[in-house]
Amino acid sequence: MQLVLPPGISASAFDSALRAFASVVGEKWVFKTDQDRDTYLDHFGFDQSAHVASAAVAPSSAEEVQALVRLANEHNIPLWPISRGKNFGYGSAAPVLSGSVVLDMSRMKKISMDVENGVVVVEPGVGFYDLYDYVEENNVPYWISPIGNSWGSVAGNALDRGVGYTPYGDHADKLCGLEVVMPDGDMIRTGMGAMADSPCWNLHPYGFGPNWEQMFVQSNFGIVTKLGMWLMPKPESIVNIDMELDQADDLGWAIDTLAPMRRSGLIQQNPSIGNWLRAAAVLTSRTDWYDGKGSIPEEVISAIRQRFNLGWWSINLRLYGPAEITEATANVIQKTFAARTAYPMRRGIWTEGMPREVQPTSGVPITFPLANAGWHGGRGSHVGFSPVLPQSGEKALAQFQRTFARYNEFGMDYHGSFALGERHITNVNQVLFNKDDKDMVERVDRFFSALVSDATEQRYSEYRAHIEYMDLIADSYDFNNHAQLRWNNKLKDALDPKGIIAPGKSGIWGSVRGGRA
Amino acid sequence: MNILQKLAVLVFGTALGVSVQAADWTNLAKTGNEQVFGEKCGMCHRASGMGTTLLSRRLDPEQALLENRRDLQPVFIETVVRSGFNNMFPVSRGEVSDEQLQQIIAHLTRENAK
Repeated sequence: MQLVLPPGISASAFDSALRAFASVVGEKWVFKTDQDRDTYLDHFGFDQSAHVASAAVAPSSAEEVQALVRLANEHNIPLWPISRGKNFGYGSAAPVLSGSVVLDMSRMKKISMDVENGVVVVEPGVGFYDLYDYVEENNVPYWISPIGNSWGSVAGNALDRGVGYTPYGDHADKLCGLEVVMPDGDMIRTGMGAMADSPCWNLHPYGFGPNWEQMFVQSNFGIVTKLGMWLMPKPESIVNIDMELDQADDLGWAIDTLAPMRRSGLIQQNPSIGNWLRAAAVLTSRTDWYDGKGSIPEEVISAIRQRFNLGWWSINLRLYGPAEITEATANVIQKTFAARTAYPMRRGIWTEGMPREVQPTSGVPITFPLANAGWHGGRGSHVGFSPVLPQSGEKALAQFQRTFARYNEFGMDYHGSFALGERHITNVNQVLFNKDDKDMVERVDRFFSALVSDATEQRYSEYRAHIEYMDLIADSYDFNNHAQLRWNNKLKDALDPKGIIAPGKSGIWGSVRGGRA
Repeated sequence: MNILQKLAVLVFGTALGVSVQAADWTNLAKTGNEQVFGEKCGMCHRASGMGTTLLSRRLDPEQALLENRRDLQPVFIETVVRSGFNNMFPVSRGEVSDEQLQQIIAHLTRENAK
């Protein structure tokens, strides 16, 4: 990719900034060739040219991050911090603002584990596989909470509010204690970590006075260089209950049946209800089923379901704890469902000594679900639209019907799931497409905007957004003339007046870069 | 049962009790070039990874595992890693340094005909 300079920066000023960065990290860790720039593009995005890094710099320590941030201020260079840059479907390693220099923290891979308390402190470069290996190698009696496609960074995922599938799956909630490089190069530790050498930094989430931890989640107010995370004690057993729902309309009552059990804590993890394409797109390509244009028709859906023994929806529940408890809980759940339906439920149990399911629900990282990117052939891509809904079967069903109709209108294949939190539903819609198909790419953009607009009408919005849509989603949070966005920009101005750190992240630009005042 | 069928079982829970063993793909107790391959590539290119899953659709499943191959050429590996290929994303020098890439190449070509 051709060099795109940071806004307002001349080629010579840019060179001098890169030389200054090299004085901190060494020449070897400043990447500025065309090929280097290409490696930081959003491989799974549909308009890569809209989000282009000018260069990348890869520090090895928090001290180097501090030095780089100070220099970036001096030279007026916007930085786009990434942990491992694997936020596929949300922008990968690419910056919102073209010309930003990627601050690549992949090399920062320190792990320190407090086994007694089940707490790990990770640097941004630590991936789920690294942490899995660490936990297994050291025979630590805790499990990690991997995500559905586990290349990514443990810290980066938590900081983008990514989710896992164990009872510790709400990662932004399980983080405890951050170390953050501020936009002026200062460093703070949150919560109890504000006291030097506190043994409670990663144990008590608040400390004294205001707690700033969540302020660094999905924001651009600082660069997190260490993150404390609670790990789940290894369970004695896991009981699985799996069920196929035959009709699309079964979604409503299924949610109303699960919700009270999730809310009461009977079910401890966030169960997900997903449709038939989840399986089909991982295991097969679209052309195996259908060559026509438009969404795949009903008879093809039936054929797919038949081949893989799937319902319109599948529910996979996992119960964790001593077998006496998980088995008893499973009985209660089965009885509750039996009152609503005659659909059969499959049940099994895992106990220590048995091979673990290669699934995030068993603390095992995986990557194969993104084989679904190959669904359309060509260079596959995906983008996610994930609005948050109230926990109501009726409302979820209505949302599904609206969304499904839109998929059909734009000729896309429906790939959706509904994950139940304690009080909400996250409705993840994956849009699979072939980025070599121009017509499809153009449709996807209009399709996405239609989904956002439908959701906004219902007063729903996303919990997370692709870099291309951060402004669009930020704009949907419109209470009191976008008071929160105005506040975020005010804060940005106070902390980062030159707009150095991740301009445009979550729609926050600061006034220097034209943010909403 | 081939890898894909096993995965189908695993992902969608149609019958527990069949499992890809974690030992098939983790990086435990590995050293040298093999360890670097495992750390940087194993998540996709060992058993059950995304790369293996996609390659299994067009190659003999045994050949879908890169570590079984004897026909991968250094320049091909280097190009695919740095430029990406189909659904594989390009890998930056921040994530895999040039030295590490050479180690990965050495590992994947270790049994090529001389």
